[in-house]
Amino acid sequence: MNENDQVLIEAYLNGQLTTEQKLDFEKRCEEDQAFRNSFEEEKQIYLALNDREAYDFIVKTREVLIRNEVNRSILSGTKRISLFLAVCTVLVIAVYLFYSSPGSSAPQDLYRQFFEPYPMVLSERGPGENRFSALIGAYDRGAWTEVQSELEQVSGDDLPGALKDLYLSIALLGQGDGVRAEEILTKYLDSPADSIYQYTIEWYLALALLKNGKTETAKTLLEDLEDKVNSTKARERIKALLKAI
Amino acid sequence: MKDNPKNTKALLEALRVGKREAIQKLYEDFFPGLLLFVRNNQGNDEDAKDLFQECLFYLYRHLRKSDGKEIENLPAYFRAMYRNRWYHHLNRKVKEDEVLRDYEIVISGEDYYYYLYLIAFEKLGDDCKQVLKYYIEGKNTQELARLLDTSVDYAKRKKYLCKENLKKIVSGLLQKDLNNE
Repeated sequence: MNENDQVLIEAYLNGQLTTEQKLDFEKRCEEDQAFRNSFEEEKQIYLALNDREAYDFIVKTREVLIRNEVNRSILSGTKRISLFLAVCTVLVIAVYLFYSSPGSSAPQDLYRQFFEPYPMVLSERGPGENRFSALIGAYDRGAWTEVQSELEQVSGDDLPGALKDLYLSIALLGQGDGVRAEEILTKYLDSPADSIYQYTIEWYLALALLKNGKTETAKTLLEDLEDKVNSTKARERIKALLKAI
Repeated sequence: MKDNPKNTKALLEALRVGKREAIQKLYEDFFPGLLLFVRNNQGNDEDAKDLFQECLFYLYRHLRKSDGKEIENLPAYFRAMYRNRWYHHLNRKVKEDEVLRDYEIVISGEDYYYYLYLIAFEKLGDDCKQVLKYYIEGKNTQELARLLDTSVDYAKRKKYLCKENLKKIVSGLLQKDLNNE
């Protein structure tokens, strides 16, 4: 198709031809097979791309597929996460009992004693998902500055917002930045995330508050959380921290 | 999934207007079965996702053109559609005992190409997406050049290349089907 025909077809599709020009165009379509074929192809493209709603539908379907895949990955790791948390809780309590004494550590230092990174769920993804290998590697090594930098490049499609905020706050707490961690997690008190994350978010928010010297606020949050969590081990962990404050 | 006619009608109506909740519901109800079917028939998880997206789109198109009253049994309808489409992609003839006799679903060439062009557009880079959006809005070459902050010749060439890119992606998708022979 030559450039003039291209321009002519586009003008026809955009309704930019005069009545006379339109008639000439349609006559040519009847008489010139090659021209008609080119026009049909351009028309298909034009109609498809002009259908904003159809395109949005395809994008939404893809988003649903991706979001459900992430949720499936998280759920499949739940049993391992529960076991891991249970073991961590027992260890934390043991260490606390071994080292604790009257007049225990200042609240600002307490967060370090109880700080344990939440398991990285992206590790649960199948082979070939090496886009996140740098993030996962840094997280496993506790290289928190690198984790923060890698997370800032992860899109909402790959990691739900609440989970991304959770990991970002963990990275910040790992670097001792309780202020930013608190800033990021506070919004979930007014707008709770999915229940699978919310209690964990509140736990880390409590740690951030302790780091920032807001002991009473941390205590209130932990007391409230203790009543809400179902897991006995999690409750014991919260109790241990409350006792230490 | 309970096949309550009222529920089906409401769900199809929600899908017709493109509601995300309807897409999610259909995902929950049908994707596991579709995934199992694809895995058992020479496909993988990515194939299953593509097939689900394709079939859901055809259902959406169908609902926008008609009211979908004939879809009394949505699970059977959707199952017939994805099985037929998958066998089409494998270029297999459907065996007698595999045919779901309740529904004979024919996807028109027009719908098929419509879907291919939209998928191809989704795969384009952001710059080409923007250029083609301006084209659809009726911007002439001079306006395009101004919007892209470039020369008229470059704008003309860019539009041409983006369209060619789109057609190339569609050809690739069509070839993928042909190669399954």
